[in-house]
Amino acid sequence: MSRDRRDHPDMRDNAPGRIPESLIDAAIDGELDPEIQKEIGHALQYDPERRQQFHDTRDAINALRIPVEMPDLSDRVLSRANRHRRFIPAKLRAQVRAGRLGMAAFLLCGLLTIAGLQRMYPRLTTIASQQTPVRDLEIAVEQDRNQLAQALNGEIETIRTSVAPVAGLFDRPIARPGNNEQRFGVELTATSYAHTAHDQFPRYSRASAGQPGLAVVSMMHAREIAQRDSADSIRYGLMQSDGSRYFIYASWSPQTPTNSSDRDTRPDRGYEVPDLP
Amino acid sequence: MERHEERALIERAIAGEKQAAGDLIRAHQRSVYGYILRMSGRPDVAEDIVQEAFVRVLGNLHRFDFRFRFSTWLFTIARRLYMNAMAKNRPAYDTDFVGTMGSGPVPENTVYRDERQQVQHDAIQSALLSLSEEQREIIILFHQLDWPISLIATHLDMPEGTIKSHLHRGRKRLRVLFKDQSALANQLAGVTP
Repeated sequence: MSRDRRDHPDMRDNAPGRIPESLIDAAIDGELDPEIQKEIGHALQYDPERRQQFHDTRDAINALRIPVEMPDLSDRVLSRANRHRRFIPAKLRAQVRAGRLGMAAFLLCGLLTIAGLQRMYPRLTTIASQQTPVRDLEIAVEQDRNQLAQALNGEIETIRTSVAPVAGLFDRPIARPGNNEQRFGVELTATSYAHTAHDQFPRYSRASAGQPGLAVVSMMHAREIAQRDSADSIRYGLMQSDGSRYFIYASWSPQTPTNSSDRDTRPDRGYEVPDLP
Repeated sequence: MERHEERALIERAIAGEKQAAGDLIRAHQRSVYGYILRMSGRPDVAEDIVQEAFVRVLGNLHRFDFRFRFSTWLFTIARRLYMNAMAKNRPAYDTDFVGTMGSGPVPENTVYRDERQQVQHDAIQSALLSLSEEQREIIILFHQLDWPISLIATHLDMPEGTIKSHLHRGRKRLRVLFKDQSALANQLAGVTP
């Protein structure tokens, strides 16, 4: 049993008189003084097994130090490196760097100038919509246009309301009550009359349905009708209805270009003239 | 190369002198190539990684801190590239490479003139690839590139004691593997040891 233990490599390594392997390692690592290394070398002569191990180790290390054959990679490396960062003379590199710095400084100055101008004249450099003289004028013109359109609409509405009752006026002849002679005229209801004629001629009383009232046709329409029909003159006037129906007769002549409702409505001309308020 | 010479070379390369950049590459390419070749066992991987490492170094040369060693910086970048490449595509042992190392036309005036050297080269590469990553790298850095233990500890971010432990265990294993591989390679090549 004890022989077996002594035969174990570890036991043999630590056997009395043997050189410890750690000491040989230390010698190979160069950690021992030259004198001790010399002593170990001397002791190895008397320990064939250790000596063989040392020689085998030395051979392996020497094999490790055999230089390897390799191609020169410098050209390939430089070619690749040149693609990333060009090798140019120091003077040219300095010039390139100065140029880049100059360009950067120029851009910075430009930005600072714009920033300064914007600070001093905010309206000058702002692109977004804001109050400017031109913009003010545009707004004023727009407001004027709206006001004018509103006023015109009002006038137009006034004209329209005054004209609405006589739309289609005289398109068809209607019979004058008690007279077979055909005249141009328009049939109005009392309500429409009230809404139109009274607004235009507020001195006339407002008529209600079923009551006698007045209807007035403006001179403009009388003139238009006369011109359309190539008449020398046309009567312009008003009449009293006989019930819920009201008849308007236009009469016009060059001599009486104004509203003559109260002149051309004499009884001998077949027109009855009511008492005006 | 002395450090002051290296510094002058780096400063000239930073200034845009292509010749200086080329000299810098030629001064370090063999060691970093050997390091990656021993680690990977594949010359194509070693070439790619070395090229990429130098391209990155040259692209960031103006950031180099002269308090440190240029080779340490270069090796750190190369090692990171190697680790990334391994993580992406873990390479198998390249038997073709090992085979070609001992056969085919050999250029004149090269280190492979001696057939015994070729056998040893194949054997050590095969033995190295049988070690763990840590042991292999530490042995390469210590014995092939002569890096001190303290620098290896910094480079690998490990305590010095751990580095020594890996070194001694790896070296012991390498010794056995190398002896076996050498015997096998000698048999195959018909070379008498």
